[in-house]
Amino acid sequence: MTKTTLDQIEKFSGNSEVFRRSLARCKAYEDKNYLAFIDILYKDLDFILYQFQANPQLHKSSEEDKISHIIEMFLNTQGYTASHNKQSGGNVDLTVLLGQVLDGFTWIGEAKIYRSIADPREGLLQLVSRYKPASGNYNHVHQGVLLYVYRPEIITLMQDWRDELPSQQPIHSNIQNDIFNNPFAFTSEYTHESGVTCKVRHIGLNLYFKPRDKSGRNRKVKP
Amino acid sequence: LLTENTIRSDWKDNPIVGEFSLSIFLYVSEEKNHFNFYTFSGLKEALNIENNEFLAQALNYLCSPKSQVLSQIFFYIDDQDNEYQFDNEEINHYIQDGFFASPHTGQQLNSEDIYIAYQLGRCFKEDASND
Repeated sequence: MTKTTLDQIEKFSGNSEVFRRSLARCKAYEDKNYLAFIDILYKDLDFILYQFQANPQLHKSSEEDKISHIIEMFLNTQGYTASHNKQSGGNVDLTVLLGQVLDGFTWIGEAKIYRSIADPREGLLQLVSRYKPASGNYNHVHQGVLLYVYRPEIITLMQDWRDELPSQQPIHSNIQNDIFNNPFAFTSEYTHESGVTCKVRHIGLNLYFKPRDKSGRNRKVKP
Repeated sequence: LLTENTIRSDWKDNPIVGEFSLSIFLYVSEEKNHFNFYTFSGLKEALNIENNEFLAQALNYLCSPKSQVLSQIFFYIDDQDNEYQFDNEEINHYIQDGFFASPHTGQQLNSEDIYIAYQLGRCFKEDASND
């Protein structure tokens, strides 16, 4: 019987990185390593967000639910159990589980379309004030705010939001640039009412698309 | 653990991969098909699957912590035809750095010289321990 090489599997999977990410999920779970889970989840999230950003014309009028649903579907095919609008102390937009309910890891995120600064403010408030870990395990302290941006200059909008954070309640501190080098992301920390320090990754998704050339202006995109 | 409905629901947007995943799941679930290991080409032949990319996606999904139907094993055959299976630490190294190192020299091995196979995953082992 023909043996299949690693080189072939990497190519069939897309590329080496895609295949290694699939292994990293297994390792994070097998090793019971929550931080490894967060690391691979954020790499996977960035991967799907970059697919959106590569084709913003396909999502010109998508609502937050539709985008969250596509993210959820992608994560489910990658071996997570993802759901959106699942109750976890309230209305949480995206809940992600790696592994099985009793011994897996969970992450929750709140998604908002960033029309004005009031939107991330509201998203964060929902996340923070209703937060309890989907697993019930308060070691699972990482959370996310996903901001879908249809406006130009996402960098400025994310900076505006970053500047606002120290004045939010609860106070956000230790605001850092993104370790995954996503230019539209950064992280912050706050103390939850339980006393636990929670870590939030704020991730902007750039969906602004307004071609100025004639063919772009006239093109109609099929949904 | 994994059910037919979960597979179909997860692959709603790509039902071909869903069908491949389900076929493999049902195939390896039958006791007469319980082997020490499975190869990519062996599964391809047994299930009459043509598309390598879709099969790879299905296998990656079935090896995931959600499914635990299969798990990957990686091995290297040296010049003397000795077979060497890589352990967890070496797999971690590959995940981080993108390559396996020779068990003899520590030098980087080409991915063309590493072989992959699959064995039954935790869901079958847990089934067996519950019997």
